[in-house]
Amino acid sequence: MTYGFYPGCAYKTEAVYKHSVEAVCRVIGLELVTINDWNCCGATSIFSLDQMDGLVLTGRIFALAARQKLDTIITTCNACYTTLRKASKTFKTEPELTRRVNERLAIEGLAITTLPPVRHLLDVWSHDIDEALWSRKRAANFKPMKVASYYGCQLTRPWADIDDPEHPQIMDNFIARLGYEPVEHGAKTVCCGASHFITYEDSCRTLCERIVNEIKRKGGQAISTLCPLCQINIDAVQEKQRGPSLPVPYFTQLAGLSLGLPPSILGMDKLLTPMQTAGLKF
Amino acid sequence: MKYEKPSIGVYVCHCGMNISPKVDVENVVAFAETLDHVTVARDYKFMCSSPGQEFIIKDIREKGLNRIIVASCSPRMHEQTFRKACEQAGINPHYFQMANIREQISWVTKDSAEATAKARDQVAAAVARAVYHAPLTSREIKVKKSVVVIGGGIAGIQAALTAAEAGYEVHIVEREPSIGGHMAKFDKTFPTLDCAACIMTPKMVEVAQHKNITLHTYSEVDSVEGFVGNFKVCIRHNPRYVDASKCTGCGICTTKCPSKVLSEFDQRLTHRKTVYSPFPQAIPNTPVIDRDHCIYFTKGKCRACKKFCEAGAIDFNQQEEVIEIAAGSIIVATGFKAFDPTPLSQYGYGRYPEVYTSLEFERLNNATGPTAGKLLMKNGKPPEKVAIIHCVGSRDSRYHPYCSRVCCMYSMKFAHLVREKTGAEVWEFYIDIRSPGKLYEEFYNRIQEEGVHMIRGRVAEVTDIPETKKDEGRLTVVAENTLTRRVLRVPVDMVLLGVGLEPADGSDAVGRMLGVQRDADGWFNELHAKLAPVKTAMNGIFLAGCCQGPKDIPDTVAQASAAAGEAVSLLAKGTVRTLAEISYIDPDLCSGCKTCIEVCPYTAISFDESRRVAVVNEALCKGCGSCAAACPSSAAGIRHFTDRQIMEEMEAILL
Amino acid sequence: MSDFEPKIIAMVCNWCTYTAADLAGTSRLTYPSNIRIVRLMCTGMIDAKYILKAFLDGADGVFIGGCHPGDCHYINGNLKAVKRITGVGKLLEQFGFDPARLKLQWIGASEGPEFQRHMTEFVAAIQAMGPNPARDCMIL
Ligand SMILES: Cc1cc2nc3c(=O)[nH]c(=O)nc-3n(C[C@H](O)[C@H](O)[C@H](O)COP(=O)(O)OP(=O)(O)OC[C@H]3O[C@@H](n4cnc5c(N)ncnc54)[C@H](O)[C@@H]3O)c2cc1C
Ligand code: SF4
Ligand code: SF4
Ligand code: FES
Repeated sequence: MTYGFYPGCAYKTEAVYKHSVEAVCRVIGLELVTINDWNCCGATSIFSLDQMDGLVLTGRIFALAARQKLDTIITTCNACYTTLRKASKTFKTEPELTRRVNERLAIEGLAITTLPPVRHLLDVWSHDIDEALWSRKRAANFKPMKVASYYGCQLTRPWADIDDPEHPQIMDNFIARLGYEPVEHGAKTVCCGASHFITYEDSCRTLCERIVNEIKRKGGQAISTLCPLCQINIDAVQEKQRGPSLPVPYFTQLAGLSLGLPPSILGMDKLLTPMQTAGLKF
Repeated sequence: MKYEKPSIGVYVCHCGMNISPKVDVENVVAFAETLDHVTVARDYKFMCSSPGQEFIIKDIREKGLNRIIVASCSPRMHEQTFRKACEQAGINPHYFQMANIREQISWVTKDSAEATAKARDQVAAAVARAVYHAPLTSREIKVKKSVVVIGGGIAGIQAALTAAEAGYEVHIVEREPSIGGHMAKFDKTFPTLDCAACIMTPKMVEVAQHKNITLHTYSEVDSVEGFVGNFKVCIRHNPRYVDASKCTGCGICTTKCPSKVLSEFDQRLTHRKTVYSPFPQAIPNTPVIDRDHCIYFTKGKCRACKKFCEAGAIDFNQQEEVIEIAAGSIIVATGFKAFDPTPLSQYGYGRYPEVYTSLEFERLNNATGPTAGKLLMKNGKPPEKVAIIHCVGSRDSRYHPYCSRVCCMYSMKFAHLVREKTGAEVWEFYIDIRSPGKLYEEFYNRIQEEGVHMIRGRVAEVTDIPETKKDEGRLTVVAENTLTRRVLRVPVDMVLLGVGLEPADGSDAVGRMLGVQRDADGWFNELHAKLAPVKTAMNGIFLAGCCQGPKDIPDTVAQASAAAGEAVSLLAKGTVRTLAEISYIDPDLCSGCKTCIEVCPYTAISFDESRRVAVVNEALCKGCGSCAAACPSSAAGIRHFTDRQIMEEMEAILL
Repeated sequence: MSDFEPKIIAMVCNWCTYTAADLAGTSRLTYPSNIRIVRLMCTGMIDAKYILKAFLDGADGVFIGGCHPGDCHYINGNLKAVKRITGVGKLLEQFGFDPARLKLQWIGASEGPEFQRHMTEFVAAIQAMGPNPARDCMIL
């Protein structure tokens, strides 16, 4: 089994995500094979702009993965996850469109020959890695804290296959495995506004504040995220909010902390709200 | 009656002006005279009239005819008429054959010559086939004068009382400790808001006291064999551990029992004892010991109930018992189960304490329920604002595509009760209001006049994330009002989910046992959606109430009475006639491959192990011919539709 | 179009298609007279040999009409018929018959106009195909 890895654009810029993913994978012995020469997937908006362009972008990723004989495509971003899955579904059911995409890919000598499953890294860590490994490798000086999981829209919707679409549990369970205390709350899949934050700041601010306030009300000390866009929105919105902010780490960073990796490697210092603000020590 | 050398009479009808002049009747008669075995051929204005029939009878008697062909209208009109005439004249009714030259020739053909040619062919076909007709008889089978009713909800109760009143022996099989079903859980019923117990309890008592009714509660049907008129139903009595013949129903055992579990009857909103009657008006009032939770059964000591029972009715050694009932007919009344809204996690059922299902609300509102009928939240306070969500699990392609029919009405009943009891503000969220029923639309109007907010929009979510500080601790219902096209966020104290109806647990097993089919949603299939709404494809088995599809109490009661009527009409007749046109299997040709057994939709064929051949049960066979067409040895055939008859018919047309 | 007048056997079930044919009659819906109806209780009783027999006796077309899936009076006779008739169609092809000479159609009891339409269309289709080839090359 070779886990193919599709980093996606945001991952490249979000060094904290990249560093924590790589560091944790090293510790748990999970090899991710990056898709060579990968391109932007077009994100969720591409299909509404130009379906063919969207399919060519995503199709190229599948073709590259096929060339490297990868069995799975792992993403770390909700938007990549949804976009690739949507495209995969189209390729499975629309032979005519697929033929046309392949025609264009042929210029590069590429073709969509297989459609390996697209999975989120959280799914892989949760289901493919021995559950006991996390507690076994947990750092002796690990300090538990109350972490609320924020899933965003697209991990579970519209698929509804890896978890309950409206009230998922998968990240809460994973966080608990790491030793944190999960916080039940009602904003797990409330939308953060995604890229609209730039154009419709006011509306998105309302959305993000709803999430942060709910988590504060339920006693969360930190908000665990699994998507670069969610992370930046939830993190950034708090700058202008009154009262103390909650740090918004990636689940991968939390995993790193639990495993006792040095905070600097995990990029803990790069979060807008440092973990220390919440009175948390690690 | 033995097979006779054919002597055929052909009668061609003018049907006034309906067949002739389009079909040249005289020409057809002349043609018929030339056909083999035809002794006479005649025409007449109206063959179906008495003089027409007289003709036939006279010819049979005088000319010794033993096959009769009438070329006239559709056999669906008059086959029976002419068969009777034949019988009257002393020949087997199956020696009769009809040629349809009206509906299928004179009325549908433009050209007269073409119509005549076609009529000649169809007459020739009928003559050719009739040569090979055999005299058929059917048997009369005596019917057992009793009915088994499966399920003791309002449907089962009504059906049982109706049949018992007619003088027949009735057995009700109910798997719960008491009869009553869902209706016993309600306080008020729409649209009249009469007290459910007041109309239900007398019926339950009547059932208990009726000399013709035997109650089998805490019991299930184990197996059903046989066929219409002669079913053999095995009923398993689960042990109650309380001897009904000694128990006086004093209830001291319940009072003294130290063990408590959540009450199923109260939708787990409160506790019951381990030795219990589900509700005060239970019929019978003999309690049962819930073995799984009984301290004596699980830990070996306690026996408090036994100590205090003066009647000595507690019997820890009671065993399950299977009894066999002979029944002429069976009525299925297994009802429904309320949809479990947990999968719709956006409504927070199970997560938010103040989200209730409709059945939970029925118990909250019930004088014998956990709050003695006071509408209180878990914190003991009455709600100030209540939301009711319609169509939960219904009209939803993810769960049930169908409309559950009663939820709109009971939701509006709830709105009324909430307003009446607490004065709270009520917000109803609906997709469409479905209030077709006598006084139902009026009830809807009344609810609106009572100041209930009716919002047309499917609720997106129920969340405990407050909009403003002052709504902290409340639930917010988010929905689009599709009439004003605005998104609403309504803070409330209590949310009631109008959950849909689905088939009762175990319906699949009941269906398999009885051979009654269920539809894609699991409801039992009636024989015909319009014309046979209580019959099933299995003769002698009838449907009543929600087991056939969601419905309200008035419709349930009407259908239950109808089912009892059908059952009684069958029993009153005293005998059932087997069909004559059914399958036979020639044991000399049968190779024992069992193909027919597989294809028969009515399990009418069994295998005779000693002779190693398939055997048709004539009472179960409906003559569909699946076996005949599938049999690789041509051993199976259908009487009156034999290979020979059909081949001759086609040959006469084609050659 | 030629003046070839085909002979077509229509084997129809008593409960749906035969009733539809009667309804076409009571509604006075005319259709070509080439159809000869053989009434059976259910399409599920149609033996493969009936169809072969019809063709060997010179029928130019065989039409089989039954209840819509789910409506069969005997639960699922029509579904069994589909399987059998598909098989016969293949067999006909091997014998050199155009399998389109055999047609299976669901026509519900209330579908008089559909009955008329299918009869008209099928007769036209058979007319276009010409006579049953077995008529010439077989001594019957
Ligand atoms: C919340 C709610 C409120 C309602 N309010 C109203 C109202 O106000 N007015 C109105 O007209 N209608 C109302 N209805 C509809 C009403 O409940 C039904 O019309 C009625 O209960 C149907 O009766 P039934 O006997 O068919 O089914 P049920 O009441 O379900 O009875 C079926 C019985 O069969 C038993 N049973 C099931 N399977 C087996 C088996 N295998 N063996 C033995 N026994 C078995 C069950 O234990 C049960 O006792 C309401 C429904 C709901 C859900
Ligand atoms: S299919 Fe025919 S041969 Fe086979 S068991 Fe039935 S009757 Fe006998
Ligand atoms: S005719 Fe139909 S019902 Fe009768 S035995 Fe054959 S398959 Fe069964
Ligand atoms: S009864 Fe019409 S197809 Fe079976």
